[in-house]
Amino acid sequence: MSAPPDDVAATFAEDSDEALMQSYAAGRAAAFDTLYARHKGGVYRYLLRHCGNAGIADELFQDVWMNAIRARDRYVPTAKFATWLYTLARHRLVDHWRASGQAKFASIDDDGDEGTRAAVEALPASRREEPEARLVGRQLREQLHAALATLPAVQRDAFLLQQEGGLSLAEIAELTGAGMETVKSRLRYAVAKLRGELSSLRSSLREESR
Amino acid sequence: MTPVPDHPERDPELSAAWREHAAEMPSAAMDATILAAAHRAVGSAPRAAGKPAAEATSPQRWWMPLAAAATIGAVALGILQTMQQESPVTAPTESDMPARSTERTTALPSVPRDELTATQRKDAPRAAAESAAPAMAPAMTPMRPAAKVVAPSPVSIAAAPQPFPADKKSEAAESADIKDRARAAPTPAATPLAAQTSEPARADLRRQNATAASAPAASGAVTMAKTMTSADASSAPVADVDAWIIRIRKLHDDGKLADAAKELLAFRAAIPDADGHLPPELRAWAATVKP
Repeated sequence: MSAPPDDVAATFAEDSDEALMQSYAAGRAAAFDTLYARHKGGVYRYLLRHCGNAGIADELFQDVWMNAIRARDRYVPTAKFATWLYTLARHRLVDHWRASGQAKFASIDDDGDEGTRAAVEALPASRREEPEARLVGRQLREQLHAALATLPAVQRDAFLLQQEGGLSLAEIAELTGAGMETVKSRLRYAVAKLRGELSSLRSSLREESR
Repeated sequence: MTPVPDHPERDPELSAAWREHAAEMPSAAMDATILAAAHRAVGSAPRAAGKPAAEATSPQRWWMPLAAAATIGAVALGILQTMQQESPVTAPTESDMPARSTERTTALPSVPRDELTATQRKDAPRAAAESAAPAMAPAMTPMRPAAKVVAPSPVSIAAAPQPFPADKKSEAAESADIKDRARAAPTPAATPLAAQTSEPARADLRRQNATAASAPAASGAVTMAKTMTSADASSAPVADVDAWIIRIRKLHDDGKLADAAKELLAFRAAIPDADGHLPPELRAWAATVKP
């Protein structure tokens, strides 16, 4: 199915996520189109960054949205729609890990994350034959993703919820069931680690360009 | 050296870099699949899961509270109306109840209940005596002490305060109405007086009571009659104008003209325009009675 017609999309463009979901639950399918367009990228990347596999991410992504569609009548706008949606995504991810014998989100101390190492090893190597700008961009992205993949799952989770879901500290705490201070601590670790990776990568790129 | 951000858990530079390189999106095929499913879910008819479609649930959500509110409102209205109809029954009938209240009680044996209800609404205190429903009457009678129900003596009637000063305008018309009714159905009120004198009269009373049980409109009078039976009717003060007239007529019909004359004189002393209240058949005789 193609994107919604412009006039229909414009009808809902100003509506909040919560209003859109309620409109959809009331039977206006076009409201879902707008909602999906707003959140599909964030949810997809959240899942992809966690599982590191596009095929699995696709499967999980579809399940998440199907669950959202099925749960439309039960949706109550007591919290942000994004919190609700990312809760569905997180639950689906946990189910996937349980089914595949992995145990993520165990604790903040799970530094020795086997999945992380596997994800880092799975990342493609640099391709020096590509044009320089594209190469730099690609290297930066890959380095960033690799650094993210080395983070403990709970830190990665907090970072992705903040960046992709746009959730606040309190919302992440509510979603994950952790305390505010715990979430703040996780984010601080994640940001410090990624910032360090980003700085070193930029330094090395600058040196390479000389 | 990178400056330390105010909120270490948030780094704008990192966020910008992240967004710049966050380009992964689901495939177009995936988009189409999900959007098609979303449209099918709300566009199709009944759902397999047994849940009604969104189009169907939306009006239901609107109707259910409305229907509940309407039901509650209807029930509340019904209760309110029932209470309005029944509240006068529970109102105490005091010995100093205005004479006209009891007068109407016996004078309205054939008034339909609906008419009574309209009267009650117009004038609640007056309705206290006349709204004795058949079911309530037996229960109500024992609650009335005989001394309280028995009307004041003719003297006290004359001295009694006028119960409905505001309603005096229609008093004449009401009196005429009462007289007509008394003529049309005189027996219920006459019964208690007859009961004191003879056995046939007592039988008559029982018959009247039975009739009253099946005639709601007459129940007020029957209740009054029952109460009066318990008193010594020969010496008891007359309850109201109509009862008084009935008593005079009874004495007259029994040939006790002297007693009837005495009663008439007392009646005249107590009630202004007493002769005007008398039925036509007594007026000729009354004209001959002089103090």
